[in-house]
Amino acid sequence: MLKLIGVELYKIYTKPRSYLGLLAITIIVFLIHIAMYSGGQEYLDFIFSTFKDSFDVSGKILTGNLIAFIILQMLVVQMPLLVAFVTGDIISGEASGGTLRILAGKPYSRSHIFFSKFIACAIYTFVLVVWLGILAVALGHLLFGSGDMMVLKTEGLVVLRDGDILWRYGYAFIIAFFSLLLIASLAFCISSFAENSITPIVITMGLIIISTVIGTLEVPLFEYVKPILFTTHMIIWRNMFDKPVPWNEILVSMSIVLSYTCLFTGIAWFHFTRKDILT
Amino acid sequence: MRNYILLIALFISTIIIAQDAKEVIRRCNKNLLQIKDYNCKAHIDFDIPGLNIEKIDGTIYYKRPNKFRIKSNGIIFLPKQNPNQILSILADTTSFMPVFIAKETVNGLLCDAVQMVPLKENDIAAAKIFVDTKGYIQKAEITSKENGTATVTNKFDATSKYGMPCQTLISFDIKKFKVPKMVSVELNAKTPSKTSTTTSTKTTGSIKITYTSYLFNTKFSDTVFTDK
Repeated sequence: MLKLIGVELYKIYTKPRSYLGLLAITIIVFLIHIAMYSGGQEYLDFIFSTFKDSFDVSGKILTGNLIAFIILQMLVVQMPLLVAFVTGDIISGEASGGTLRILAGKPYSRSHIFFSKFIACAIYTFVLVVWLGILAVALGHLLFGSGDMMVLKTEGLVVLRDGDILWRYGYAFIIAFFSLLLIASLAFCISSFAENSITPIVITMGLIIISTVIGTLEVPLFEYVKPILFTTHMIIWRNMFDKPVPWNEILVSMSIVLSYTCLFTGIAWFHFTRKDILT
Repeated sequence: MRNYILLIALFISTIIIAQDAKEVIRRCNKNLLQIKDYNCKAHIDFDIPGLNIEKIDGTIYYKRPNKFRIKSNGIIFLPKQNPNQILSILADTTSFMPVFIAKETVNGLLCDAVQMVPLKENDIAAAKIFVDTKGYIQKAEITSKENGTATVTNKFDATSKYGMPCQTLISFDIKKFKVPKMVSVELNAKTPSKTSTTTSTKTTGSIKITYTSYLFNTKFSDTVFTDK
């Protein structure tokens, strides 16, 4: 099994598209850092104008902690796409390339092949999240220094003290990893049905966009649908920056995220272990 | 003849009231004018609706006439009408005219209530101060044109010098914060009923500042007001 995982990781390593995600994250994060370094204060003055009208605010606002938070918020839409690029291709890409049949002919069970691919996808997702964490938090601290963090909410503002933030990022990245693993499992599931690599990526992104739009629109009809949309629960990492942290809400959302992950992976496994591999 | 007597009585009473008010201000300034600068440690507790912020420690720097700064390692929110404004109002005898109102009991002490009426165009629409027999300002109400009214209630202890309090409670009007979810990027949140960032719903917030380790007239450098 370990050998199979190694082989799958090597395949990911050798594919140029695997680096698109890392490159895209690097470019986006660097652009945000540069933009914030040059004109971040004006941006923040606009964002927090509601509060500055009523109060004299003193202290350092433009901190590495806040910049990392802004970066995470901005990458809510992009990160799933970057994950789907690789994970949506991992089975269907081999099917279209004709190597899946060769692989299935090796003395490994279908389940072993399936889970080695899935674990390789999970490792790739983990690497993306860690890379994002290094660039957003570590580089943010290096450029802007540490300090308190102001989190804007629809009903007010939460100010987190400097020493009370890094552990929240730790949990937020764990939640982000499991949320992206859900996307990986969705793309993986569609990939197990598809015969080309584009279809799973397009369908996955389409589903994410539709779910996000439904989740954003405040139409009474959609209010019943929102709790079952996976995108509703994927952005629960933001709640780690509430005070106090709504652990129950987070645990419920994480349970739903993990349930969806198991469901998509289960469907994919059921289909993959029974399908006729003709290409 | 009766009208003349009434007019003269009114004139004399006005002069007496004005003199009473000026005497109260003199009593205050007798303490406060001895302060050219001060710095002290401050512990600040916040209780502001819509603003979830923890208490913080810092150092307050003040220099006559109106240089004021709280330095700390974190973010601090203070109402636009801060307690330091009282010192500036009292020191500025050309911009405000004191008018004696009544005697009132504040913090269990009989105080003279004096209204400071602005004589020139000023953001402060009115200020009312309550001064005890020692010349300590027990309470002040500052009404500004832009930010409503703030009530400053002071506490003094045996160590209090020059009329500076050991604790101040500032209560103030604030507008209820409403931020559109596209600005807060809370995609799952429900947009507030009025999407405007300002609604007419007013509420009250308070900030408690506890002062310790006062140092007066140490002639510290002005750089504390400008450095980062």
